[in-house]
Amino acid sequence: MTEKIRALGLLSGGLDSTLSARILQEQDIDVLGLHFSTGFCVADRHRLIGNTNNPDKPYRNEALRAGADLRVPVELIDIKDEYLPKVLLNPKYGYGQGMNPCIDCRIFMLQKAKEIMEDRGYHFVFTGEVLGQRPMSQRRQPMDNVTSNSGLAGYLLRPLSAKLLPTTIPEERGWVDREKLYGISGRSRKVQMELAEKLGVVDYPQPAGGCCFLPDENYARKLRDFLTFRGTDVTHDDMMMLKVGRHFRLSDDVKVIVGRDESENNYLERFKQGRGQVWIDEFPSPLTLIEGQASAQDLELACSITARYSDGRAHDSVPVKWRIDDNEGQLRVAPVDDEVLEEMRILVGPMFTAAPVPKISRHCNRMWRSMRGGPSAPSR
Amino acid sequence: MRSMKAGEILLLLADDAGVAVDIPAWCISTSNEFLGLLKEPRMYRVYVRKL
Ligand code: SF4
Repeated sequence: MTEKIRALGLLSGGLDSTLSARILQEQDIDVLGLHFSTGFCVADRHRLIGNTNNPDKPYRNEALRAGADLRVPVELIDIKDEYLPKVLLNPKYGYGQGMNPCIDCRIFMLQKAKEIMEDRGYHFVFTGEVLGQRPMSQRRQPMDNVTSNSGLAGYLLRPLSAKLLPTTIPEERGWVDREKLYGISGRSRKVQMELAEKLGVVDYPQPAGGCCFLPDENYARKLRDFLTFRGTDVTHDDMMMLKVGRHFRLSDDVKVIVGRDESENNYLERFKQGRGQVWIDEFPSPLTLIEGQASAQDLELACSITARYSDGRAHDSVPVKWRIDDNEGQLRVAPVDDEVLEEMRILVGPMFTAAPVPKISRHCNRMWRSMRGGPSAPSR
Repeated sequence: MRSMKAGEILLLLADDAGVAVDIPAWCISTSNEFLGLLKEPRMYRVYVRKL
């Protein structure tokens, strides 16, 4: 009896990785999907704060959904703890448009996949990468770089672009028929969509990408600010906090986070421990958390910002409650002026580097803005 | 799951509404049986039979 060929692959549940798994199934290969959880998945964030487009339809894990559609087992692997120090904060190949260390990220995941391949006797690893599809990680040179640095040289198959890439060991040894693989390149998804129809892949998320926070410019701003002021002593809770709320920097040491809606307020409730809290009883209002040692002036400002985002924003003054450690009280403040507010909103900061970053002044936003020659940030 | 014997039932407690879609999908992909889900005020109870 001939040995059944077994492959494992990175399965995000997007069109490309789903198709790649399906193409191998067509060649009678046993497929296992690996889905790595970095802690920066957009759908996970929605789920954490209890968001849903439709109460009967919670955000689904696309990898598990694809696994069900293809009848392919999927393993979810939590790499959050290693990912932060080894990949996000220390990327050898730098960041993309935001804070996305895509090349290092791919290398890291594929190194993990290689370990599983060797431990469990799989024949090779596959990914859904398409040559030329993404500017940072899916050009030929970065793809070669990922292959060699993952330790998978010869054992990494990209079924969608295989015909444009050197022949791999699975093809040489006849485990996979190269003639039945594809030579797709570029950013258009047209060929993949036609292929999906042909192979009966009907359910996949639209559009390509968008499943990771790190390329998002808004998230990247907050992360850069965080790293600039706090350095690399980062916890997961810190990262989670960057995913919600409006963020304002009051001073080098103090920042406030203002919930944008009820689900964000509920989410922020979980992080009250060790942070100051500001809220209003008289009107519907956000919950505001204060990070850092707030001075009396910072506290007043945090109250004023909270009043600005409450239903009492049109009033001359609003009674705002606060609690810091075992102390609590109430301040009557005027809602902060929008112009002053924008001075504090966290905008694009200096690019974070792993090297120590200089402390910058309280009015860093204004400084950066004038350096960039840009207009004031729009209200959000 | 790996340490369970076929026929045994797993009770999973979760606070994430996503289990309502993810666990049935996972059961299909791994050939286990999704027995059902009970929604409680702050928690979901999910039952899966190992096949
Ligand atoms: S988008 Fe995010 S998950 Fe995807 S490769 Fe880049 S850093 Fe990794």
